[in-house]
Amino acid sequence: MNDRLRVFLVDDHDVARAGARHYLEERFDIVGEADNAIDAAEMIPDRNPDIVLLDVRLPGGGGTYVVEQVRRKAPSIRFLAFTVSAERQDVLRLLQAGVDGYVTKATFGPDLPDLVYAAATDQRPVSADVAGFLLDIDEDIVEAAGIEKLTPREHDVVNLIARGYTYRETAARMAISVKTLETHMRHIFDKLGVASRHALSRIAYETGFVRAEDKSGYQGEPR
Amino acid sequence: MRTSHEDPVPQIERTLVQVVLYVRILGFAWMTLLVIVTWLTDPDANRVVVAAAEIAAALWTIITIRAARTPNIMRTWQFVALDGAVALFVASASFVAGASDLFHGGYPISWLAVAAYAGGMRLSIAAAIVLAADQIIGFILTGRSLVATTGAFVFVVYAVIFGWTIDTLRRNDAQRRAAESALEQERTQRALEAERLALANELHDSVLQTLQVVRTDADEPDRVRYLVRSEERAIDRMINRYRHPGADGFEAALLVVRDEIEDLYDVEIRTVIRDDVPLTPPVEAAVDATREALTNAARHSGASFVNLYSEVNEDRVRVFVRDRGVGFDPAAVEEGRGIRHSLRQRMLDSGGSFTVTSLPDEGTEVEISSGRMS
Repeated sequence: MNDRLRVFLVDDHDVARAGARHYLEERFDIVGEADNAIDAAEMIPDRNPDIVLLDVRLPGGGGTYVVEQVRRKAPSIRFLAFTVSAERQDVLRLLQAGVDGYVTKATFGPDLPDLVYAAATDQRPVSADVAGFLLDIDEDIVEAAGIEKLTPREHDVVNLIARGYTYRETAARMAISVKTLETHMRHIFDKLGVASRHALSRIAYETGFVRAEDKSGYQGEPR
Repeated sequence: MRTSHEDPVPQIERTLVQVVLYVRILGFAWMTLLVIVTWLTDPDANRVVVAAAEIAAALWTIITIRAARTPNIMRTWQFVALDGAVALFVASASFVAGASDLFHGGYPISWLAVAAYAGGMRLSIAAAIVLAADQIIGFILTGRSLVATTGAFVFVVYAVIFGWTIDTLRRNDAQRRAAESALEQERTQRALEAERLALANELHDSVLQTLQVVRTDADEPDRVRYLVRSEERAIDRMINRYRHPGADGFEAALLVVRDEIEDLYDVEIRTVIRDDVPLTPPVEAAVDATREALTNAARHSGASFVNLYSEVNEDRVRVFVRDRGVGFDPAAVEEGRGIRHSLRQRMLDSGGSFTVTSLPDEGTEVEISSGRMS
């Protein structure tokens, strides 16, 4: 019995999976791969990985679907969203689904094993661009919606990460332990996971999604 | 959700209702004139009946003016029926009062306009027939000549005029609107088509061509890295342009600077730009300062990548440029000379700030804060 972490890869691009495998197989056991959401949701509970490296846009349902399906059967499996997409909607959806980290493929490379390890050990890694999004979400939170905003300390944490600080550097700069930083990150994920549901419904409204539906019963002159 | 400026009542209906209202007011004025004449010159006319007819017509005219504010009310059968009841009462009053001449004037005709508005030509002709029947019965009961009776048919003529006019105007308006919406749809379709073509061309000219070059140059890693990175940026700009068409503010300017420095020094700049603002003078000063900070990081730090982060905060733009390079001891660098000094001075002059934090072996972070934007 070895104590290497077990990793499962989900990505519809063969090249991306091959790249991830290349960086990860030295340190982790790759226990399976899937190129679509349906296969992934089926295979992951059987293979029982510690962590899933999850692309966001997938044929058959998207990353959110995979998280929701797997969590029903195997709630302890962790997910690291790993994607080219820095689209607002994608980040919000995955946060709401409850991923354990979100990094964009801009960070693809030698850092990947560290990020996977961080997500598997509850550290909630995010890349700098995603941290920027988290700050945007926090800024959009309306107090009246009953959602908690980030505390000033938590805000500072995310701000430093967005500026390119690693977790260790952030902790050092704020004169806190890495453990404390991880606790902050868990709270941040919890708060913004809830906030993203509201942000999502507002985005749906702003992009005309909701308005288009409402208009269907409307017969008057459009002006 | 429907926004408030959308008018549920089309313009044509508002216009028609105005016309109906004018007919009603003119008809009532004409009647009032005749009532006054009757009152003064016809001693046989029963004054109670004459007054009752005038008051009923006046009250209902006021109600019509009110109802015209919400044209849909005027199109209900209840309104048309009540309107008709008043009109019939007024039209019969001359006979009941025993007046020697009819004094209802134009009031009954205005019911025909209301009926035409609510139900088109059919309803207005039906109303005209009811009115004509009322008049004929009145003529016969009060023993007038058969020739006078034919005058009742003038109602049918009015009904045809009102009904035909309103029906035609409505039909034309509906046709015009259908044509307009078809045109609009076609225009949208064509714009989409053009957009698709532009996107396809852009992908062909940039991505596809670069990939072909990459394939031929595959054994030169430096050249491949350079090509791939410049392509990444081109696509980044393209996406940005599609997402924010017409944007040429702070974000666009910062991206240009980033591309410039990346090209010059072969360094990767990981960029997070959170907000876009117009390029006012203080913001431009911040962009220039960012260029210098990035240049320094690229030239002196020795790091393979630099982080660039910007946000808008309480009316100021803040930019952070961070590298994990060799760093230096700021105290050891002579103050008052060189680029750092001139930059700091310029930022201070525009009401902003320029702060460098650096530790040997831990890298450098420059914080640039613009002056107030407004």
